[in-house]
Amino acid sequence: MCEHRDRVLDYLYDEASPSDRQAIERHLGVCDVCRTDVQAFRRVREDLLAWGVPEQPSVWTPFAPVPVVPWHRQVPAWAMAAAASLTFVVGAAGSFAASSFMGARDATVATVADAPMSVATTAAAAPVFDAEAVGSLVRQELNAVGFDALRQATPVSITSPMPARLDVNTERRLLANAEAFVGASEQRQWLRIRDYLTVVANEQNLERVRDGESLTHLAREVLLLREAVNGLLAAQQSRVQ
Amino acid sequence: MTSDEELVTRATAGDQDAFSQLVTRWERPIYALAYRTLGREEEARDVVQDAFLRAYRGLKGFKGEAKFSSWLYRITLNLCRDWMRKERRAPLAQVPEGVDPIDLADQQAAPTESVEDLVARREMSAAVQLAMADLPEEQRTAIMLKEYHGLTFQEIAEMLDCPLSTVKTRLYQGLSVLRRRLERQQAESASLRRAHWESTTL
Repeated sequence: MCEHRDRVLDYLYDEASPSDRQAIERHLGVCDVCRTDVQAFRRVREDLLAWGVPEQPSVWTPFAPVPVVPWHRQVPAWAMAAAASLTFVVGAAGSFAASSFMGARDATVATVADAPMSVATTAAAAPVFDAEAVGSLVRQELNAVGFDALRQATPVSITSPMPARLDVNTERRLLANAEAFVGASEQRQWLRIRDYLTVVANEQNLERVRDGESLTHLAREVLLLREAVNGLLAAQQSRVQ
Repeated sequence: MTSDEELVTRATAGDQDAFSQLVTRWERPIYALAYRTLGREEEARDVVQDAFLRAYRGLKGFKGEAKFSSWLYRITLNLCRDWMRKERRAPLAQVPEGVDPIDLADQQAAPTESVEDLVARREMSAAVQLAMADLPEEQRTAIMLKEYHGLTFQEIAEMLDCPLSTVKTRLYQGLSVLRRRLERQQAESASLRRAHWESTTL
């Protein structure tokens, strides 16, 4: 290896000063190794030009305006589903509790007025689940999208490029299964709601009992106070007379 | 034309248009560097996007001690190195098999270029890719920065954080290996062409 290798590279890549360039050219005239290297490296450099880079569209779009997404589109689907379920449960529980409480409160007020010690306890009535109604709703939905459960089965050719529908019996069976599945799910939800509302109603009854006891105690105090006032008034009148 | 330094100053002050001009100016060379380093178009695109994002975020830390392009090249090389280390993959030579006339026509550099020239250039491109992919990373990087990006020896040394003599050694060794492989490949191609010519004419 020639000691002028680095200077030969400077010469090859046009990084040599004019004076160095002349000196290297003189060296190349007498050094076969360096002269062969320069000639061979020039061919390699020409060959390297054959390696092109495929054209590419710009990949840089960091300043593009961010598309406006409605806030409800930014909420994950599972969160929306959970929120809808929670709203449904709370709404159902609230309306049931409200109706139960309102009916019980009327009875309780009358009872307290007449006899403060007696407070009616009302058990929460379990809502009646109507599987038929749910099935009817499902059928309405299917009808709305054009599902014909009563149409006649039409044979589907195996060679047909697009088998249009299942046979009618299969569709009916699937529909029945879907109705049963939905009905069972609704039944379970109603049972859970009923259990929850029963607990709420029992707690409310306990509250009412405590309120009734307080009212009874207060009524006694009022009676005692009234008697005391009446006694004072009587004593004052007797002194005046 | 506005200089890189001026655009960098404006971009650092929050001028997004200035940075977009820098991207427009340097996207193609950066992509070429990433593509030739990795040998994969998709990954090269990802690296380009990531390199400019890093550059944009790091503009305030860029003190201008080196040229903006050198800084960008260094970011790109580091990202390519990270990718190869993470994926434990070597550079890929995407050498197409067979000759597609439509593809060839698309690669035609000039209307006067003959089909024979196109085929020869395509073969040479494939040979170069294969030979470059086999080089050690240091030699390949030095050759790429010198041959395809025209950096000076000093700039390469600063970018790779190594002595000037090391850069020249890597380049010399890399060119020597390429020379042997390309000469061998060209000899094999010539032999194949001669055999094909003899089988079709005799």
